[in-house]
Amino acid sequence: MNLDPHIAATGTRRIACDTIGSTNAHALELARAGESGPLWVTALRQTQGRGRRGRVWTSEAGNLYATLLLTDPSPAEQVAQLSFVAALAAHDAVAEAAPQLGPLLRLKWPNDLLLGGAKIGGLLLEGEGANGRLTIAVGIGLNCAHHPGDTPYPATDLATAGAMVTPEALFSALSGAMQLRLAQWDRGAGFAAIRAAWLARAAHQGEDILVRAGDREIAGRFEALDDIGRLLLRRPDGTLEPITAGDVFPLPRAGAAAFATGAGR
Amino acid sequence: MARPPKSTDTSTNMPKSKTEFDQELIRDLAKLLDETGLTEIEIDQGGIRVRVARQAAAINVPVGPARAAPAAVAEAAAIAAAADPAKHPGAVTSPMVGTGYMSPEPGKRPFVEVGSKVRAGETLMIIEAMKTMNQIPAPRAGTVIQILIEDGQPVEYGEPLMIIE
Repeated sequence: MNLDPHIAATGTRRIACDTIGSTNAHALELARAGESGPLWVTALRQTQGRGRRGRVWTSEAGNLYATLLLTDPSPAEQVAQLSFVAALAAHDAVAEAAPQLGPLLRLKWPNDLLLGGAKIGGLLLEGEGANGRLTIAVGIGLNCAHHPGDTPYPATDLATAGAMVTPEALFSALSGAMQLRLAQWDRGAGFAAIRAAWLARAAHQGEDILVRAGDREIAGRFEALDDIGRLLLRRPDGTLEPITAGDVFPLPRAGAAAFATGAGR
Repeated sequence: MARPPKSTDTSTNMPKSKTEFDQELIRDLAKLLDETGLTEIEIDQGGIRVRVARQAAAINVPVGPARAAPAAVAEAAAIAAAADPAKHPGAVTSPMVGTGYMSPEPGKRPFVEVGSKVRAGETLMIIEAMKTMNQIPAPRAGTVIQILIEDGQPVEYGEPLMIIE
C-alpha cells in the first residue's frame, strides 16, 4: 500500500484502487478534474485495460497495473522519449525484484519488456494537452502471476519463470526505478544516456525484423535508434527508414531471404 | 524510397544498341513483379544483367522526413489557392514527429470531419510517437474546414494537420 519512502519524500503521491476500468483512463480523468503529477494510480485489477490502438490488456488480479501521471514533464516534442525512460524503469524494477532473471530481460522497441524472448510487461503512454498544460499518463502492466495465451507475440509471467513477486513488491521497486530514470532523463536533456541504456538492453538489434503498422508491414534490419528514438530500419534496397509507430516482430533467418527483394504487403 | 518514380528502370551492363536486348524478357519480368508483389527482380543471363524495379505504392508505413504526404499536401494547397497551409491563421500544426490517427482506434468514427464544429480543447486526432499516444486538442472553437493528413500517415514537427476557422 505504500510508496517507497524516498519517493514519498519527493512529493510523489499514490492512489491505490481495487478494481477500476483503466489506470491510464483514471489518471487522465483526475488530471481533467484538476490533479497534477507526479501521481501514481495503481489497481489490483482493471476491467478495461488497454494497449496500443484499442487493443485489450488482460488485467486479472495478481499482476501489476500502474500509471504514473506527469504534468509538463518536458516540451511536447520530447515527451515521447518517456517511452524509453519508463521501459528502462520497468526493466530495472523486475531486475531488482527478481535478480536471477535480470540477464534474461530485454527491451523490444519501443517499450515492451521481454523475458527470455516472451513479453512480460507492456507500456502505453497517453498524453493530453489543454490550457497550455501537457498531461501524460505512463501506463505500465507487468505480469507477476498471469499472462495471456493468445497474443501475437508470446507472453510469460514472473511466476512461470520461477520468481514469486507480489504486485506490491514490484510496485515499490518500480516507483523507485522510475524516479531514478526520470532524474537521468532530466526533462529530455539526458536522453542520450537513456537511449544508450535502452540500446544496451535492446532485443533484435542488428537482426531482420518485421514492423506492422495498421494493415501494413515493412521488413528490414533493425540498425539503431535515431536521436529522437525512432527505430532505424535498413530496407533491402539500402535506404534507411525511421519508424515512429508500429509493432516489431523478429523475422526468422530463412524468412529474411524471402524478404530480400520483397516489399511486405 | 530513393528510387525514381518511374514504373520500371533497367540498368548496367546493357548492350549499347537498344535492339540487342530482349524487350520481351523485361516485359515478362515486369509482369512477374506484379504477380509476386515484389519490388525488384534482378537476373544475370548470358552476361546480360537486367534489373526491373518499381516504387511500391502499397508501402506507407509511418516514417520520417522524406515522405511528408505529397499528395494530400498538394491537394490541400490547390484548394487553398496555392497558399501554404502552415501559414493559414487557422492552421493546427503538429507539436511532434509521429504518426497521425484520425480515430481513437481502428474502425471507430474519426474524432472530427470536414464541417465538424469543435470546442476549444476538443480532441482533433492522435499522434503516436514511440507508443506515446498524444491527443491533439483544438486550440480554439470553430469549424474544421480542411484536414491535411490521412489516417496512419507520418507527420513532421510543425506540419499543418487541419485548418479550423
